[in-house]
Amino acid sequence: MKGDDTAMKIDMPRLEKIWLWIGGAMIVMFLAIIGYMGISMGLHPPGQMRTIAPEAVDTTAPFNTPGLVPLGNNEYRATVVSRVWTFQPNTMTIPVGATVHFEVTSPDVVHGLYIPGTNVNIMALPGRITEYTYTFKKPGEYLVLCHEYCGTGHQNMMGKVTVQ
Amino acid sequence: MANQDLMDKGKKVEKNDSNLQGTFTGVLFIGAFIALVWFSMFYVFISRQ
Repeated sequence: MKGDDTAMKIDMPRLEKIWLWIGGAMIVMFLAIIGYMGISMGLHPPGQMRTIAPEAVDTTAPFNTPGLVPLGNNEYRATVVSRVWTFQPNTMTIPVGATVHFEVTSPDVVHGLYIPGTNVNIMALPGRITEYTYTFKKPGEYLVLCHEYCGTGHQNMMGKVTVQ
Repeated sequence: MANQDLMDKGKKVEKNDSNLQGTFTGVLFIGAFIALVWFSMFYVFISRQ
């Protein structure tokens, strides 16, 4: 048996061992960086822990009155209903440096809420409330797009966030 | 006899290594490309945070 072990070790080419170690180390490094940044900066994907009945979106608070609510200290809660084929609210105006807590759902089909140039990239699922927090540090007009094909009017489903 | 076998295997390994030089270089290039793309994407994500 001992002889077999020795033979196995010798049969593995040295260069192959090296590139396997390099590949393994890269994977560990990527995961370690993501893990460290995720914990130290509080980074995480948009959460979808809360649920809501899709047919009751229009009668359930806070989605019965979608809009932008100031929370003080330059923080806002954006309650957004994504439906075929618009966002409610469709336009939002906030000051520079505002932190917006998005909460998004859909009463009909799967939509997306994507703001190009930012990390706001949210899935709007019927039955789920997706939450994501983002701070708009640069002034300008930000396009809001549905990035999940949702039917014949999908290409017209867009909104605007003005940061001034 | 056993020693001779081991020596033969050792020679075989050396032969494999020389054959794998090009493969090794190729693997390193692909690894470097993957690392470059990963760090680029990571930079984009962090800079937009």
